[in-house]
Amino acid sequence: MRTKLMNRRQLLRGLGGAIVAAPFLSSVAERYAKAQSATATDPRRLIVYFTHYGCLTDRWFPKLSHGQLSAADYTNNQTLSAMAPFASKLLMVRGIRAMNEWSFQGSLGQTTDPHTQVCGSYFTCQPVTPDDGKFTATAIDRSLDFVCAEQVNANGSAPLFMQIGGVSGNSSNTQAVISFSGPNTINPGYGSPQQIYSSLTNLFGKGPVTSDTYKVARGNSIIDIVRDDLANLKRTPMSSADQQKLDAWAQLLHQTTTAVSAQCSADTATKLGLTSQTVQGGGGFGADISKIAPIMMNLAVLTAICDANRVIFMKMPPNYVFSFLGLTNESHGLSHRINSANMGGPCLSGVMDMLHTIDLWYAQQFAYLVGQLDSFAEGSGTLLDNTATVWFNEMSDGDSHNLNNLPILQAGSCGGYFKTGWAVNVEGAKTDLSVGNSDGDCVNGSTLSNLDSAGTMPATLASMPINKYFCNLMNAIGVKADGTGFPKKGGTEPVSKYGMYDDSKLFKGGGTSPASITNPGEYAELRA
Amino acid sequence: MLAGNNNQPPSSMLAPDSDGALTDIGWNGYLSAAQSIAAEVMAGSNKSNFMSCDPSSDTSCLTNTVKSFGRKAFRRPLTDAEVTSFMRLNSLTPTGQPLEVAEAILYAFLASPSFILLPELAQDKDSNGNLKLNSYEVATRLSYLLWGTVPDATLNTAADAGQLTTAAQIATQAQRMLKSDKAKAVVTNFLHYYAGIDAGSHWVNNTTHDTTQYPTFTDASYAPAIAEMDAFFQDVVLGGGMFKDLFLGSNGFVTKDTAAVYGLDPSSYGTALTKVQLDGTRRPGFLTRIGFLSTFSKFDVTSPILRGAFISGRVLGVNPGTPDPAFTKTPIPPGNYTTMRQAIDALTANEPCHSCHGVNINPSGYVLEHYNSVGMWQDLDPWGGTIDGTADVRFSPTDTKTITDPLGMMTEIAGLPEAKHHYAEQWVAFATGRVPNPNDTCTVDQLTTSMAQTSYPLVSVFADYTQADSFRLRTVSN
Repeated sequence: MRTKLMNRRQLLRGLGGAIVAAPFLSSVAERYAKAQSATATDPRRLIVYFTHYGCLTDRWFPKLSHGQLSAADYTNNQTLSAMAPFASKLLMVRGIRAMNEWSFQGSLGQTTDPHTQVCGSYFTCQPVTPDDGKFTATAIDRSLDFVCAEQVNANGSAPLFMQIGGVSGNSSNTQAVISFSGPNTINPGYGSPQQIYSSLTNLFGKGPVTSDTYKVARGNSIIDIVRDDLANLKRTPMSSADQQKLDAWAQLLHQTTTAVSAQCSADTATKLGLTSQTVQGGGGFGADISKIAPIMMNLAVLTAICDANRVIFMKMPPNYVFSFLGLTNESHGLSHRINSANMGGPCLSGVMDMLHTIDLWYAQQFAYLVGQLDSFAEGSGTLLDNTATVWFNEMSDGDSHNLNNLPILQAGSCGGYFKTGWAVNVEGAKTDLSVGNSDGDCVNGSTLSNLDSAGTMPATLASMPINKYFCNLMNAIGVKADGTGFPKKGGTEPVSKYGMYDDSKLFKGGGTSPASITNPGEYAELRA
Repeated sequence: MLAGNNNQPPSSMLAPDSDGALTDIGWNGYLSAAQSIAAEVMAGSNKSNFMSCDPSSDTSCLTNTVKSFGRKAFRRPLTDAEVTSFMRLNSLTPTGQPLEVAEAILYAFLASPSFILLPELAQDKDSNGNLKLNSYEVATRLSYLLWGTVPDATLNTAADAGQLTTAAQIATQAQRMLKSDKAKAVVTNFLHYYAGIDAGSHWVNNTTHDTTQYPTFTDASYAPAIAEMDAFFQDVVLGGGMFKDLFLGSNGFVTKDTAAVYGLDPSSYGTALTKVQLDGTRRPGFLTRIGFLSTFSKFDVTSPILRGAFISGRVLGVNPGTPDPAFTKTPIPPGNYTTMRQAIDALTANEPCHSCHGVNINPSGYVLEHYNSVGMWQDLDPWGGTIDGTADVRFSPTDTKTITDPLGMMTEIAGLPEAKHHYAEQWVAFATGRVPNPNDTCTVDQLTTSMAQTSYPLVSVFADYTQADSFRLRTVSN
């Protein structure tokens, strides 16, 4: 009988039951501490905040679509008032369309599923396969987080993807999957604060570390022991897949000279409310995100302070019951106004207020993240100033599923790269771009028969490709392209192209149309 | 063994399982976990499990510890070169105190690939060209499969003597190991896999119920209800039970917070699980217990669909598939229903729902309508109608029977070849860590045949699986 290979798993079980809280010890990897502000160039980062099912657009967008926005423009805005204190550091990006919109007819993309294809294509700008994989389709190439991390992280290490409320989505349910490490390969990211926290404690120092203690000396030797062990294993014949795993591990041991700020310490962590106690729990799907969200956000802040990752994506959960806001229905059914995933039907009583309650809470969380980032000095400004921190909504209006007139709010200029204190309408700088028509739904107690009309009509309006904005973001944090204009490790050119298509219509059929970027380059009008 | 008291397991500090290469974040997690465990062990009472000598007074203590602890951690003796590699921690500048060096040694072991991975790299082949696992590798497989931890001294002695190469030698060890208390690990781990008790499942998410309507089920009831499932599985499997006992066994495990649901007097019980004899006609097997019935229900009403889909997919091995989300939130059509059954009939009366729900899902759920949302027996629906628990349950494509009560259904399942086959298949999937492939068919069939014997103890499935060629042999693919 022919036998088979037993898959050799990385076994996560340790030596028995449990451990107590991690004491804070000095740095062990091959890193050195530095005094703050010792570097010439501060890091540039991309932090993404992603929420599902769109929003009530006409309460979300400020009225002015192009021009300077003051605190009053946000205060007067119903949803984003929590953002008012940061008005001078905000960039309201208008006129953008995300790729691969769903419709019955497939007129603007695939007909796979209104969420599967949107999430899968959102940060990849690639179609999803299989075309009829309503719950299983995945993007055919990796997502923006991985494209960026490969170039801007030390050793090209993976981006940090935080799933607030636990890991949602897997190979049999891809409706909420936005991060892909490779073609059709889902990145589960991290659902538990503790996993992220424990990866950071390793970097803590207490200010500049002197190198004359045994604890510092042992760090290098332990890495040498691990390296020898890997080399020893590698001498035995094994599958090429296993060889590659060992090679990748060995590569991680070379992470030399990543400077660690003196602020990267247990003290800072404690100030952020992060201790080995507070990060426990909360990893399970369905966790109380009112408690988990600030912890995850502060972990993002600590990650930035420690410069442990320059690409941080975080996502709110799908299908969530916001019981802490007094709601009893899950968020997807609410976004359809009828408390179910169907399209059309009698509106749930009070649903518009419920949706607004959720939108407000999302905005408050984003404001919290922005405020935390802005409270730590870095170089001549703050962490926020050196970062592009962007709130992306999955779609525009949640009932229409429209992807034009996409609600996007950026905070921070990323080291002066972007214009801030402005709304910029990349579609011709018009100042009166529609704020959509979400409030047109449920006016007479039932949802619109033509769902499109709750969105922004016509579909050609506010429809500039999101690909170009991604080019801006990549260029701002130092991602390079090769001569083709597509991002490429080792390249020297600015990024001018991203994804497979920048025309949503071409997604129809799931990649059967030839690849085509018709409108290359970033949006110059978003630059400072 | 080393670390441990009332805190969280080390794995909670580590990155979640994923395919592909180790990442920077994952590796830092390992280093942090290793560092903190080493510090904790050296500061606590478990130190003696790591080292049995005093490095301050005994000059060979550190070397001996590297050898003796290394034997356990790597599940094989260390080479001289490996001992030298670890001992470099004793010759650094600045010099460490002996106990500091010992801590560094432990830290390095816990971060070593040979500890973290389970290498199976022996190169000897059998006459068919298959690679043979050596005794150390077999000991590791046995130990991690059945106990979830490193091999014990007896296994190590057998491995050192090369006495884990034949099926008979492996059987001897497996049978010994399954008599140990540590075998609770495989029972719990596998039955959780079989029943799908994991994060994100109904078992874990549907934890609360309407206390106004169901005062016997409080916030304190959920945890002991789930604990009963583990206790029941261990009682059946390690107590010599057979497959049928999973579905017919009447031993129950109750506390003051669950007893009333079974009609027992809560004041007779405390907070620890107490083994009791339940009514065998109303409480046969794990599918009639609070843990299952209350989590495969909704907050205030039963869910014949959730219960029926579980029996179809998890027990009979007929995967009903994922429902279209466009329908999962479909409201029940307006009507004056007096039972949940009538409402579900109306909800699923039309296509595309009916062809699957009407045949494969709803009927077994209807039989369980005799249990309310928290698992109490009911003859009257809360909506006023009489419970109709009679349904035509499809046990296989060629076997549909009219069932009139839960015991009748459980009796059918307990004897059903398809249910045994599915159990065996799930076990092989669990043990190999992958979806069963065509090469496993023979192993699964053999186990199914054994389970058909009237006196075959269920625990033997675990031991007999180790007799498969694939437990001792491997091939390498690219």
